Amino acid sequence: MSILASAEKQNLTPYTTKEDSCPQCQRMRYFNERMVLLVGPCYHKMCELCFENTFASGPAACPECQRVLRRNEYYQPIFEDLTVEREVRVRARMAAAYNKRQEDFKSLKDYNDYLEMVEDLTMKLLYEEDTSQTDSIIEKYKRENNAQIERNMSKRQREEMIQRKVLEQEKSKKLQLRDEYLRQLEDERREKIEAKNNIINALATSDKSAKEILKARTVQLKKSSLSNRNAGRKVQLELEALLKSAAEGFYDDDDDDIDVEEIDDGPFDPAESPYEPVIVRLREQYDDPTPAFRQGSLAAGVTREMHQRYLIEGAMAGLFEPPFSGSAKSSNNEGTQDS
Amino acid sequence: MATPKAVFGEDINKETESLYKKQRKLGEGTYAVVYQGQHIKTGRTVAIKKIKVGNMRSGLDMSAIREVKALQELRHPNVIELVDVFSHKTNLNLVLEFLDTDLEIVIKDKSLFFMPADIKSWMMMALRGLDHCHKCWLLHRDLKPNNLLIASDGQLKLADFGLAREFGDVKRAMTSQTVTRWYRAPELLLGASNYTGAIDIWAMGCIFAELLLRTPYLPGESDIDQLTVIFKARGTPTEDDWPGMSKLPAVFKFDKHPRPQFSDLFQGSSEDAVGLMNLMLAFNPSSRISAADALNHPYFTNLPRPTKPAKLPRPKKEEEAAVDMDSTGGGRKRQLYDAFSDDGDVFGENAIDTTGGPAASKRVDMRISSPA
Repeated sequence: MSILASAEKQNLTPYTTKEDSCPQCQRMRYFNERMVLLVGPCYHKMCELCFENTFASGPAACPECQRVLRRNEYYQPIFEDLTVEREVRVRARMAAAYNKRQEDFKSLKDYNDYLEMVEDLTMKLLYEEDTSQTDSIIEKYKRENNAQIERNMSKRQREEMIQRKVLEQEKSKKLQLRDEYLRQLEDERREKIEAKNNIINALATSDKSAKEILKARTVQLKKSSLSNRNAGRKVQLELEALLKSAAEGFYDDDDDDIDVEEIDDGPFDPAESPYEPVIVRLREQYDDPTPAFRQGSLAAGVTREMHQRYLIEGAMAGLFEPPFSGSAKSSNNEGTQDS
Repeated sequence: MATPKAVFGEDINKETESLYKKQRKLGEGTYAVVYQGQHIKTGRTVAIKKIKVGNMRSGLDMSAIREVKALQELRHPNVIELVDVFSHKTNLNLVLEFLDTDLEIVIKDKSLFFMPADIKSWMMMALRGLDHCHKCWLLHRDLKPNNLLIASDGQLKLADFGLAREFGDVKRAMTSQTVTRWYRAPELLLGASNYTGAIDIWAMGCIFAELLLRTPYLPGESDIDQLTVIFKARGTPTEDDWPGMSKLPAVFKFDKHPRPQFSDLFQGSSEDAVGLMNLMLAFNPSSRISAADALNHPYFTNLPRPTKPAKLPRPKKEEEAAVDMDSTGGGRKRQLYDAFSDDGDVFGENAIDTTGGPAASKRVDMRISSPA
């Protein structure tokens, strides 16, 4: 099933219980811890061994509903309730096709009508009312809106990527902030111990009075706590600036109009070429011995004028090239020729 | 190009060979292997296309000759450069400019987002290259995104001239079995045995549409189906739209399809873009726009300006995108068939000479010996 990635791809554990058993061969998990149960598009379960036997030689019918299925349509279900499994998959399929956004509509009402229509189709699929008709409606829609679906899909992927980047940045910045805070706590603690030791030392060795020493210490403490607080604030500011710039980048990138980079840098000639143009003026009429053109040549765009130009340019080619100079390979004949 | 001092052909060849070293294999086709190589003195990276001559039933593959013939005539920023040619034992080696990705990879990489200016830039470079080919009276005859290679500086270059040939001579028969089907012009599908640069413009129009849609525009499943797909997408032409159409060899009774509204399919594109594309996909080859006129179309002169090549979106994984100038086996087989059936003096409506083995080989041998 390509619509929703399998459990392994999404890093989800498939749903299992101790009481699992295969409805086909009645094997139970009690006897085989590693039994794998698979379901196909008809949502009938089958263990891996039965699966291998059934699909050993190409597509085969489901033993329960006889629907012919293929090997690659089977996968391990993620949910306990298979109706939920089915709904999730149906919705994923719908979302892949119907991915228009509000900005694609002229009014909110149009958008709501569209959502309503999508939900109706989804319900029809879920309750299996005229499934084939619904399928053909969806296929038709996909075909007709192919370009837009692709466009919206790549838009969404881009947005998700940016969002992911912003989240990552935020997370790493937060971690950094936390480390910074822990480091500060540690520093403060160390400083306190150090200061205490200093005082004891000073009291023991200095000849100043005890009162003076204590006063000097309070001033020092105030200073250091202030500087610590400033450092914390700086980190906070940095984080805010980063988030802001990331958000701005996000909106900038999302802007689909191209007026952003409209720098006019001088004259511009789309037909620019490294070669001088070859100017050949043809006469009105030539004595043309060419017999009738091949059948249908005129309808294929072959004209007498083109043929004559070909012959004359061919005859003149290289005539105005100075001998043995420049690159021997530059074939284009330069100069103006009259004929 | 090297300027060897040696006088004799063999010595020149040896000298040329000693200028390059092969580094790693990039890809292999039925008739050639492509290596990444290096010019020893300058360190320039090149692609060396080794053509297997030994196991060809009838001498050198025709498309190799076509490629050498065409590329020797051409030198333009938007055409792949043939740097050197040398032979080694029974193999012929073409030293080509090294280009790391192609437009097909870019179109298919859905993580890339195209701006209108990007598409304009690619189209401009492709048309400049094509205009140069047509001015030299050369048809490319196999234009498709896969053959538009992109250099590391973003320049787009026409490559794979294995089907290229001269045009303009009304006396010589040309095969209509050329160009990859999805990009084949209607006059080819209807069996025209002589045609003009308009067939390359049609292919270019299909590529333009593919860039706008990000999916092939006219994907026919067989040659007949291809016409049906074209008529469904562009409307069935009448004798008024395309005078002389009914005289083409393979015309049959077509189903009538009305001309659809193009603006519906190309919703996101500007009027200029759709206008130019319609001119490039005109049914009548005489009124189909030429490469030179296309470059002077308002689409290119109006804003936005084409993106600078260096700023164009490129796929991320560069080492995977090899300069694979070979088509897959099936395509090559078709080209081979085409090569032998064409270019001959074989007259007749379709000018297909399937029995031309020995004759073709004689021709081929002549051509190898003459430049040596």
